[in-house]
Amino acid sequence: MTLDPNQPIDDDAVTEAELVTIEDVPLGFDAPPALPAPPASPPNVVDLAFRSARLGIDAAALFAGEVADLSLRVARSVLPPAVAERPLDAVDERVARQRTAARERGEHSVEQTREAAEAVLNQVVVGVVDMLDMEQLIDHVPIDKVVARVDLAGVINEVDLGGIVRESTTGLVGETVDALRVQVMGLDLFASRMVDKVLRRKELRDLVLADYDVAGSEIRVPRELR
Amino acid sequence: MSRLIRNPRAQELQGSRAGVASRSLAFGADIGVAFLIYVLIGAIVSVLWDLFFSSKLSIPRPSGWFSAGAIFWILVIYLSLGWGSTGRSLGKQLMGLRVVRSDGRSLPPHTAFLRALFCAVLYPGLLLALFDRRNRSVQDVVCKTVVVYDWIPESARPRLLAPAAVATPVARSGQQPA
Repeated sequence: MTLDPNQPIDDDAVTEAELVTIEDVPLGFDAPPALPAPPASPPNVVDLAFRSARLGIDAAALFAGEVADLSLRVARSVLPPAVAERPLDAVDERVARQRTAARERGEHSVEQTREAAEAVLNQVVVGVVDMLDMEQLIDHVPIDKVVARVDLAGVINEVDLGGIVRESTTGLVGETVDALRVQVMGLDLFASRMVDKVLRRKELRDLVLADYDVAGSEIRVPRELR
Repeated sequence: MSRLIRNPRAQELQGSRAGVASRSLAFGADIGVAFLIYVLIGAIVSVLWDLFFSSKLSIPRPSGWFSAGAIFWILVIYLSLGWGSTGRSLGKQLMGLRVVRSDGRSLPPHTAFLRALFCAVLYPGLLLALFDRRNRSVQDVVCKTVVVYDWIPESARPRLLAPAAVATPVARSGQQPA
């Protein structure tokens, strides 16, 4: 497609198929990876001041919209409807639009100002805590009284220390014993394989005990109790 | 509390016939336990004897024959009790083994005693398990028993609730049961 620079551009005449976006243009080399966006720094005092001012302006706009709405109602009640109805309707519509926009801006400003206020408050608190001499502060805190108020016995009773120790010890012993058993089981299989090789046995050992139930009961129940 | 076997090969071999290494170690541990029981009984009897019938405490020095005989009978009784109850002595439990009948059931007390006697008298008979195709020792052949891998005793298995008893309809007086 050739373009005449003197010809005015008619947007409607350009179809989607003729549009060439920036992604379609071959670069001839691999595009470098997009740089990560720099981390947004938290709002500071200046931001808080600007956002507060913006909130004030939005509040004023909202107030002006309310005044205009009130004026319109007064005008409607004073002027004869035949004369004022159409122009007042047009104004009313415009005022309603402005009021809606002002309300949305106001809500956004409130959110922004609150965020900035919280950030500034956090910075102030952190700054104050950093300035404090903790050693001196702790010297003035009655630790003994604080600890005396804590129900240590209750806390220890709540935490089942015995159970935790028992569980971990049992688990550890079980794991160790199982490791020993696996080693010796390997030795069993190795020894029997070696003997079978020496004896030139071709068939495998019959190690399966078909009638044995691993999950079965281990205690002999007398016949009269069955 | 329930236990799990993490090793897949060991899990696979549960319930199959155990080899000679596991059984030898288990028997060695059982002899150790019998020796400890003998020492404990000897110490208690000696202290009690000295307290009531002697003026001074002394360490007894029994003859070798007496000790060997005492350990032999302690071993026989101890193994009989273990094998005749759950099929496990302490040594067998350590190695995760269990002695059962050749049909997979628990040993009756007299078979357990006979096997314990054979084991104590003829412990080299265990070596037959190294050559036998079914890992049987002399004691197993005589008593018709089998030693299997069974790591988790019944007490440590996951416990399942017994199925709820189904209420059976009871015929009221004057009614005919269905």
